[in-house]
Amino acid sequence: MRTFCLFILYCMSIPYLNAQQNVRISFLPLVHSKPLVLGTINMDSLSHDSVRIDAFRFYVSNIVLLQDDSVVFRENTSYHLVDLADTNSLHLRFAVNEQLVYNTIQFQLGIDSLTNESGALGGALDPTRGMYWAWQSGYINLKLEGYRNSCPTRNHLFEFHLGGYRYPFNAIQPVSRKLPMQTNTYTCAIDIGTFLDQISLAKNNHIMSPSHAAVNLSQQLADLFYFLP
Amino acid sequence: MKKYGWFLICFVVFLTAFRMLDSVLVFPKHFPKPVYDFKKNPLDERKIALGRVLFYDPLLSSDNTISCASCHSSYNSFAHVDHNLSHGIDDQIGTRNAPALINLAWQKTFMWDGAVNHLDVQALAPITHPKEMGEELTHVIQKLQQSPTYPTLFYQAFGDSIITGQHVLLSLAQFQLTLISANSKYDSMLVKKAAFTPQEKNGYALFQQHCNTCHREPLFSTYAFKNNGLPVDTTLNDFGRWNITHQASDSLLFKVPTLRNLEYSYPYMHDGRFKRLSDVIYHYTNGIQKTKTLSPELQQPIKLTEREKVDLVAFLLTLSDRNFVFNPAFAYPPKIVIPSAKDQ
Repeated sequence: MRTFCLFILYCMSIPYLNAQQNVRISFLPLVHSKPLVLGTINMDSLSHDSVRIDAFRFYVSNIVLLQDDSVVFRENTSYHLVDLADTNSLHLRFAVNEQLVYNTIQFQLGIDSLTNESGALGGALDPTRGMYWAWQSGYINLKLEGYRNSCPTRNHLFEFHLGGYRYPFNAIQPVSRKLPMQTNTYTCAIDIGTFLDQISLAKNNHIMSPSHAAVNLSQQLADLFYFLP
Repeated sequence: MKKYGWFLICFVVFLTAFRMLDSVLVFPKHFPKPVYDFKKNPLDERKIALGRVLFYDPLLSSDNTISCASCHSSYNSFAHVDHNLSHGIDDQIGTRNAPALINLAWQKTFMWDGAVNHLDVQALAPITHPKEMGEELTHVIQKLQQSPTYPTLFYQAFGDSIITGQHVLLSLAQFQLTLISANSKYDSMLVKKAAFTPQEKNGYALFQQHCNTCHREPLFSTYAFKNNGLPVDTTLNDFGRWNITHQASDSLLFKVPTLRNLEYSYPYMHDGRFKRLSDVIYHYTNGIQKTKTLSPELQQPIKLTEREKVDLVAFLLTLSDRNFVFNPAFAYPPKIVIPSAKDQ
């Protein structure tokens, strides 16, 4: 009887011992420090160049939390399609132990090579999500499409479908950031205006397959993610 | 007694499970281990049946005219006889010859240049190619979802009547995985159920001497990429594997095709340039064009007398699997289960 009581007590205490809390990461795409609104012209007061973004979507995978370089949490089946056209998708949520202490967050911008060679997958990875190349197997890690007045193309349009998982065109990018403080609700911003200022749209304006340019642009984009304090 | 009862039930369950596995697919004993990971997509009669219906359904193309079977006919070992290049919607012509779809569980990459890395996702290429089926997977799914019968078939196969891209692709892969051809005279000879004629025997020896490195037994291909010395067709300018990797060493490399069922799968080569087997043999004896990436096996010309050529062909014809091409399980499914055919 005593054992039974102890067992009941233990069972009752489980939720408290392993209390979970949600961590939320919200992505905040910007254009020259202003929130990015799809299909809306943004004037840059400095360059007098106008920018319009028509599509911005990317994969975030393999989310890991670290405390001083040692992994303390790894999200299971960690694949998220962040799509500016779908507000819900901007907010990633996952549960961690309430006691968890961490100061660094890591994720991959894109889909790793093993997953790329794993056949037909579902959920965020279903090929119907518009992020899969049919003619040459592989996920598109990031899509950025839009208009910039100074872009020397027909109708000033640019189109970046960045992907590729095979050497030497492996475009997946690690993103690792020290967090300002542990709050469990984070905003991760990326300024597409800065990106467009960094690159030459005269040189690269239309990328639709794995290439050195795709790798370089992916790296530049990955470097631009930062967590707001 | 109760204890024995349980044991008996377990035994019966074990036996039925084994039988089911057996009835779904039998791997030929003389074949190596398949490359395909069946654990991730375990074969199931209902998924195979659904995949077969999809394979034969022109709904997969944008104007509902072209099915997978349009260019991969069961009677031709799932190749496209008499057509050098693939055909698509609006009478368009592609740039490559439709290959025979056999023994796919043993292949690591697909398409002549290995553009596709997994059987599951292969179907996406022809479905979305503007010169083949010119359709989008999302639209295929809309059409399937609106059909009166497909949601039920998907429910039976996957326990979900909401159709997803993943389920369409997995079922198509399942049907194609069942297309195993291993019942030719050559196979019977291996298991001592048939004997070669002296001519076939001589052809077999010549084959082992000159062809077996790339067209390796028992699959009759290594499925590696090789430059077999074909001059570039300047109307196509197809550089094969280079198109995918952009590495100079991959220029003009194409995947070695299997020789099984070649009697049914003419014309030959990635662009279907040779109509007859004798043209192919003439290419290897007299037509090799030396370029930087030419396969080392072909650096020295293959020398064959006219008599030897005839013997070699006699052997190659022992790779024909009549039971495979006439297998009713692979043919056009009965009309009642083809949803879009029923609608028309």
